[in-house]
Amino acid sequence: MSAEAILFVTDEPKLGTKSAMSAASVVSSAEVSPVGLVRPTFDEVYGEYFDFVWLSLRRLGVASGALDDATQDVFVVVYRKLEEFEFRSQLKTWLFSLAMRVAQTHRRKSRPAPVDYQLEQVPDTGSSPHETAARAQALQTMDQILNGMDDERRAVFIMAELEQLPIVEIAEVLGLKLNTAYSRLRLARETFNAELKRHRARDEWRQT
Amino acid sequence: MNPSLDPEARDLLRLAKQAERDLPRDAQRVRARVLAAVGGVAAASSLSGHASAAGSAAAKASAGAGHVALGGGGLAGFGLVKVAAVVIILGLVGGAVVHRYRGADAPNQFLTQHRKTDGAALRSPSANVPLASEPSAEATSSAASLAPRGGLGVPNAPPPAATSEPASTPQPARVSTPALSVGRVELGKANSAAVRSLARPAPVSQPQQAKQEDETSSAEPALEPKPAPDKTPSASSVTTTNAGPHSIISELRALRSAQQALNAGAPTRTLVILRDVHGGELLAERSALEIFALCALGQTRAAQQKAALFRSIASSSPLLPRVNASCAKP
Repeated sequence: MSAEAILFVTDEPKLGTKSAMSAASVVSSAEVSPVGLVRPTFDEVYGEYFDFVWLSLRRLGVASGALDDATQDVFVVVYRKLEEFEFRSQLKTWLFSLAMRVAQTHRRKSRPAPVDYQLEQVPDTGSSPHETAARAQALQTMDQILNGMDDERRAVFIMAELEQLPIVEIAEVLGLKLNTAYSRLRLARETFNAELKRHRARDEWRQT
Repeated sequence: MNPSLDPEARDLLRLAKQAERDLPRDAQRVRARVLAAVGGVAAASSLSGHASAAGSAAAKASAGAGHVALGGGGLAGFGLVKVAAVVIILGLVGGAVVHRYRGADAPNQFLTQHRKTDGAALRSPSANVPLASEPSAEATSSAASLAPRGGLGVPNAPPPAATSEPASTPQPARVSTPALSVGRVELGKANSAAVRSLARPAPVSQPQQAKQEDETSSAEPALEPKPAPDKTPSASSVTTTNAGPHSIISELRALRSAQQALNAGAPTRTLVILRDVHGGELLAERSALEIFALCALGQTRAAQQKAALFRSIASSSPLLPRVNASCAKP
């Protein structure tokens, strides 16, 4: 097992979310696995990875109205299966695989996946209006390009480019050969580059 | 080797990730839902230790449900299914009965509901425009809601037969008669959203309503705003139509007349009319009219005194902004 697979090592502080949730701790104290790793509690996983799961589901095409439901579905599985997690991969990778399955289910329920993103949804964070608009525009563009990709390339692209996960783990979690994973990543990048250029060209044409 | 992303694409992803961080999400709410959901899962999969630690009522309830649902097997499970089917059928039948009953009692609901909003009956959207009169069904609904709830008699009301609805609508005369008898009591601009929304579910179909309004118009011609020489209604005409000093109907009529007088530029007559009004159901509205009339007369000090009283008795009145915008501003 590589060092990358080690999560929740004893000396690794786990943010402030644990204290916020300790009042109603679902899982008792963390357990030490046979290989010396500390198995995280559900609360720790939830606090640490809620954003990751939520964003992954969103990137995987779950409509904004169903994001909470999908996130709930993922963490219900986490609750049930956490004790069976064997640290063979990063917890993050495992969560992403769960998110992929849940997203697939939700997309199937609500096909075609609506592009319901609106610029107004991005809250004002105190930055300048120009920066806010630029970020919102970038997010919208990214959503559109990702929604145009097929599911396989999209998953690889999200894990590799947005989550910076190692390609070896991506291949493992997707059940792919390493070369296949590399190939998909290459195609996904090409698709993203091409779509972005097309998007820019379309914008320029509109402005003229 | 794999081609990398273009720099432009990398910039876009960086910005998009920043925007993603700011997207609103509610982790606590989702967590509560997860706990509620896994409560049942825990009961079913022998994770009761975890579930009990959750300590939430939702988790416990869900756990109990899961236990009941999954605890049985074989014949017991089949029996449970049958019981559940019977319960569902009974529930549907019961729901239909209740729905029918509630539909029959809709007028009463309508009245009860409006009991809370009678203060808004005189609301006007503009702070600068005085209480305007309008012939509307909104005032109808307002009056309809007010009259029967107090158990007050309806003066000069046409006979129930004249305005009653067909037998399909229960208790028609009790509701529709007072409603229509004061349907043209154009008390202020009774166009608040509450009144408007209440006017919609009135259990009277359009043709029936139009017919009833026609009948009512013929039944009470005295309420029509006639072009009097001084363009103001007389106080005597108001008092003569009042059946009882404490009738909400008479109070509404008087306020309507006072409003018309004020609109016609006769604030003195407004005060005269209001002086003879009795009853306290619409005290705030009456006080507001007095204030506006006093302002129109230039009696600022008196208006301010009235306004002080108004603020003490109707601090949450929708008329308060208009009073504060008048000459009696605090």
